[in-house]
Amino acid sequence: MKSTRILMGMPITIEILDSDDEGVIESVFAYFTHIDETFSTYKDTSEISAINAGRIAPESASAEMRAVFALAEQTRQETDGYFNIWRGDRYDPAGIVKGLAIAHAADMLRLANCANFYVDAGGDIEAVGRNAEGQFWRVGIRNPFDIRQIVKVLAISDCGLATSGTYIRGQHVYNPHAPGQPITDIVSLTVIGPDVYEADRFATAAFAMGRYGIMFIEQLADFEGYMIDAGGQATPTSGFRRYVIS
Amino acid sequence: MSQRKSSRPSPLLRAVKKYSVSAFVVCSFGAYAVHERLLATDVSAVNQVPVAAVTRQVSAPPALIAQARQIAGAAPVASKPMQIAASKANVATALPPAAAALGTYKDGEYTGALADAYYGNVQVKAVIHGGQISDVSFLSFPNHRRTSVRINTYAMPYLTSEAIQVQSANVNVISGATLTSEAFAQSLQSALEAAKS
Repeated sequence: MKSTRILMGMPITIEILDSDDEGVIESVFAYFTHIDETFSTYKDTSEISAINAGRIAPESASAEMRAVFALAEQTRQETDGYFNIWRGDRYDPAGIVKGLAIAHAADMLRLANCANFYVDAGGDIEAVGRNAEGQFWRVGIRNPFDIRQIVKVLAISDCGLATSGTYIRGQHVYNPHAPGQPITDIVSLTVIGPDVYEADRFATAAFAMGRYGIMFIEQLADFEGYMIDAGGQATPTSGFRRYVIS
Repeated sequence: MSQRKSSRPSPLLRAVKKYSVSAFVVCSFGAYAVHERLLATDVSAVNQVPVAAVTRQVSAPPALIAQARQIAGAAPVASKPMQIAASKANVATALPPAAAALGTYKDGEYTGALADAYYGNVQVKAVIHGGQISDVSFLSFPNHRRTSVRINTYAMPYLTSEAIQVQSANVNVISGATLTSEAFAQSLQSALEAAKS
């Protein structure tokens, strides 16, 4: 069973192999809708917009919002400030909410006894179990210079994968240590980690570090990465090849 | 009468030889070490790499993650659909309103309008199957220019790099930068409008 909806401004795809229960997929999409309505900075009615407009103080926000802020602060400290939801004039937690939401969606599916599935929101993926051929899920990394193509084929299972990149404008790429300076030396950074929440937050932080981000990922135990620079050269971390098919 | 030089060098000469050879070895080694150190300091950029504050297993304490996910409002999914009050439409947004959730689309392929992104145009094709979106692909895409200058690789002293190569294998899913640009949403929206009955 495979279904795609456009939510949170991006295509969200859920494929489940061991269930035909559409109610399960519906409840997951409903959850993403809820996340969008709470955390979307594009919606004036969202809770995050209320915080940014000064109508709510972060300390008085919902428990869910406060939990996200707490996780964002933890990530900020773990990444030497390269991850920061404060953009100078407003909060934008997109870099952590997406991974958190996908990971939670995967938890919902596990609780519904699904064992072979993936959840893909705008290219950030939690993959569980095996695909229809009984193999690890096959993931392609998009070519930043021609997004109709892929430049790497990976096989993953029971982990999360996230890619940060700049090749479409409107992309929120932000270096808290040099705001206003666009990141131009790298165009794509894919991170594989224990789950998509972890992969997403570190992909976001590492991308803000430019070409040094791949070294940051290299230093992290349990994470591998693949960086593509503006010249079309790719640098994998030393253990990345365990995921590579081609 | 010529005096033959003794076949064995004098002790002094032997000592001088021995020490000069040792000195040569030591100096060469020292010069090499200095040379390597100079190379390393040229890679001063490496010192800028933020050191991960985390050296142990990175996962956040399970309790915190579990708490956050619980708080996100989902009760365990039972056999019947979960009752989450997802309010409909009427949300102000800078992006075009998200397309309606449930399958009101006619099967077929629909091409969206050309939309202007920063590096070029975006045009999206949506494939509807069984009333649902089964595929979203790009007919036109922003052309991010590849720079001709080789980006310094010296900053990654022991990671090897490779030129990217297009792959032709089939995959289940593709990962790339989040496709949340306004242009993408606009083109997709127009494709879905065409698909609605």
